[in-house]
Amino acid sequence: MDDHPPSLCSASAHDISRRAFLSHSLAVGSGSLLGTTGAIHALDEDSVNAALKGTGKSVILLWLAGGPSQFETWDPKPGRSTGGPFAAIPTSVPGVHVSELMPKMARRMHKVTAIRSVNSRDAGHDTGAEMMLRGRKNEAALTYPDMGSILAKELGRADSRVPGYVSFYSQTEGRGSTRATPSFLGARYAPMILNDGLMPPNLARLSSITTEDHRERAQLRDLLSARFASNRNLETVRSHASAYARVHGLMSSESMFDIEQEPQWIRDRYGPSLFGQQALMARRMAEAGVPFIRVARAWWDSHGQNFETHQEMVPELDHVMATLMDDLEQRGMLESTLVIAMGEFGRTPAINPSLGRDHFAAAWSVAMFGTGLQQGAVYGTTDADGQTVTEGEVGAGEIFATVLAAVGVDPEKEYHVGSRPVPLVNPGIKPIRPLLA
Amino acid sequence: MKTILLANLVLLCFIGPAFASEPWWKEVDAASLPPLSQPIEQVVDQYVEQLLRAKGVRAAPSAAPETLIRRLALDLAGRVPTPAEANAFLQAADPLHLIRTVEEMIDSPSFDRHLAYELNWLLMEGKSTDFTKYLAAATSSHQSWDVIFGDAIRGTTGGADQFVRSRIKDTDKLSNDVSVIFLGVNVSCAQCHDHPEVKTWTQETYYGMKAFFGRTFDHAGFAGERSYGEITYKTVAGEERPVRPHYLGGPALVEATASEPSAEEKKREKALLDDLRNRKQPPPEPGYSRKLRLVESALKDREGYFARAIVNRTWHRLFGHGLVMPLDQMHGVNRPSHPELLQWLALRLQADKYDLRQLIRGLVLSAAYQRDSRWNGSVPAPDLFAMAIPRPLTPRQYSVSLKMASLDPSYLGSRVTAEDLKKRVEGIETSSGGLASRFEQPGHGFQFPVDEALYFSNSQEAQDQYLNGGLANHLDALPEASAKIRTAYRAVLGRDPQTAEVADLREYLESRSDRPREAMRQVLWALFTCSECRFNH
Repeated sequence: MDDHPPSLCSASAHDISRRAFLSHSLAVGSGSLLGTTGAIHALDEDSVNAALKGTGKSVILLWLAGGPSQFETWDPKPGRSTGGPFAAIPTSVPGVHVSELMPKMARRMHKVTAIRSVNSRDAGHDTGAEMMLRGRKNEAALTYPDMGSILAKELGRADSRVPGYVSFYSQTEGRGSTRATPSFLGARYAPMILNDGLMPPNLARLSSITTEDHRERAQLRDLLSARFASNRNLETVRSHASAYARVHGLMSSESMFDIEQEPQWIRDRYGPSLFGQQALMARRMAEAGVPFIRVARAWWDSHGQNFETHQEMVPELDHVMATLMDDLEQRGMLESTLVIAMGEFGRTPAINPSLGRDHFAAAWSVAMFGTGLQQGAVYGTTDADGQTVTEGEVGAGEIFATVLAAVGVDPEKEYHVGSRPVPLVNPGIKPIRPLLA
Repeated sequence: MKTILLANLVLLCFIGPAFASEPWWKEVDAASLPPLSQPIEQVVDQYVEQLLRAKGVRAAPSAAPETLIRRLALDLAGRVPTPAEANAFLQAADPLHLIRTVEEMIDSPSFDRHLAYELNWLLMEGKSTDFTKYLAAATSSHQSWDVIFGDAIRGTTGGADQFVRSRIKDTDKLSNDVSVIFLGVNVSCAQCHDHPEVKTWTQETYYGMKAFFGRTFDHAGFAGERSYGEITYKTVAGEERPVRPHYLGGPALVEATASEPSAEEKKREKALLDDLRNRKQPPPEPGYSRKLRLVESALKDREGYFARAIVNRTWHRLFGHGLVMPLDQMHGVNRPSHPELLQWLALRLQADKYDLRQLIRGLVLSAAYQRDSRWNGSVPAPDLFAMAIPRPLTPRQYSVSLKMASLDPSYLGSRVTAEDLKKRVEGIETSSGGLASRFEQPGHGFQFPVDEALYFSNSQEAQDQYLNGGLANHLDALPEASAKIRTAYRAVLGRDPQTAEVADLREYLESRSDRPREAMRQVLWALFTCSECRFNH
């Protein structure tokens, strides 16, 4: 704890001088420097989010970048010309079949909510991702905040010691097109991005500075800043103080990022893959109160060798999803956590000459489980060859609205950009009611 | 489904209350405006005072000289003042020294570099491209704003073509960015339906603007333009309509009809373009350019969008709030806080042949610009300009200023020759780009990201850059705590500490007398990261 060189002085001597300094500086703070304006209270509050209390809910998005095939996952069409080589297997929900590549999720299907009738109308990687992560297209004049930023704001606590939004994206494919943006919600709701490793940058104290110096200089900084802010009562000035006020809280969440603290047997359950370890990290974070965690797994874009790609990647997804479900359930977290597995689109029914499937947004599947949802529900249907949606067509907006509603956020809530009201989803877009618990 | 969606978009785009039928600038009586020969600063103060009186608000007093020189240096040179600049300003006694300081700064290469940086954010979202080089050349040769506009749209000179090239894959974005950046209006509201507020702006207005770029195409890294080709759009009712270029709802452009080339001509054109592309050559100039007609239309526009837009943006940059807000809603029904002033400034800028230096000089010489940024209690409405609004430093301002402050004070001290000083300042200004990327460009409603606080708190880079540099070593060598504190305050905050501040920090330093070197570094860290250092106030 006290890690300055012992040769310099004794720890107890330090404690005394430190206490003397602290009590002195606080006295100064309420006297000559701060005045009696109560500015220090203003510093503590994040007025953007003042009215909100944390909800204790979290969302884990398994972002399947590149677009997995619905045929090889949730909506198999065995025996059809579009169906490919894999069989369909029965699940724990009578009458519902999924691809044989997903035996573990098949056994847990009674806890899953699958939507087989997504028509998101956009089969470009960038624009499709934009569509699915924002529930609509950006306007030329307005970039919408993505799902993570909205949920960080709506589910998080203003005074939270943990980040509101963490994004893992280790592979490079498709990373650029899903760059998260808080847009008009502001930097407070921007993601903490973990592209390399599991630990965010600048979270750990440098060993060259003692905890004591680190803390004291922050107090000095606050003292100087509070004086500046005391007669400059502006939101931007306050936000500077709140950014620094979050540092020590975030640093104290360092252990949250330390996967070594998980027992080996739990790490083994998730498996050795990076995706598995990141999913475990996501569970740790949800447990610590992080409202939104994205774990990206790339690259599902199987224009060639679709079946080999899926033979390799679907079992990993099946294993990680099933482990995550069991782990959350055993910890009693399924009531407070929503897990979504989706990409930017699905894949074509037609199998191309390279044995690949191409981009396809007209009839594909999204799966979820956890809080706020009907369990074991399969919504919507496609035709026998998976070419079109035959029943229950929904778009990106409906998926987005359903996610919000499942965690208790009103999709019709409005933000204001200047004087312009901006609802969380486009007007007229509703959640898929039959899927909500 | 589609019609419902479109109807809803009307609601989404709604901004502000109901409107008058004439644009606000038609109500400004040109004859009542002050003569254009009057100094800009006088006219600014005349109108700002007028509104303050009408609202019964008393403005803040003038900022202290050390605050003012810091503000001027940040706004004009893009960094804190050098000790020489600060001393010259603080010691001069004659009443013209403010004007002299401002003019010297505007004439300095620092001003050109700073303006280039600001314009690069406006035009290219701060991205470093060949356009950055173009802007550096344009600002150092004192190009006027109308010329920069023409170069960006025409896109033939070195680097200037990046403006169009970087947007060429999305003509909607290209035409919308041009309207937002150069004309201060966002016509994208009229993309799917007629504009909800400006009755004369219809879908045709939007597509009329887009049509100026309808013949622009991507040619392997070059922006090409054809002299033929029409665009169409779909009305709310689903009808497909052709559209000719017209400037912000004005009459359609009068132009000779361009007939579609025959199949044979198209084939020849394709062969020519393929050949040029293989040789990495630009496509031929079109015989007739719609893009250039847009430049013409904007510059001869009697309504004055083009001049007002840059006046408002420049004002916003220096005052922290525009005369019209939002900056991209400068249409006829969104009244400015000071309509006559904005009109006069726009006319004056035209009379000054779009010389931004004259505009900036006039604005910073006004009393309104020079006010104190302190205000007890709730702050007055920002559009009264009763106080100076503290503005977060841009990444460049912050990184250059930190770098400058963390050097040994003698590096830019009085013993350095003027020539060397110039070179050293240039060296600092041009080598801080990497560190600037650690910070975020402030925009409307800016909030500081926690990343910045974490960066300063825990990165080795920040530690090395700011706490182990020349200033820290210089402070170590000073014998006495008060002297250390005074020197640190001057270097980082550009002012002397108050008695109470010296007392507080002395007390801290004394409590850590076992490790004075470390203790002083914590003081330095607190100064570099405190709000006073982070804001232009």
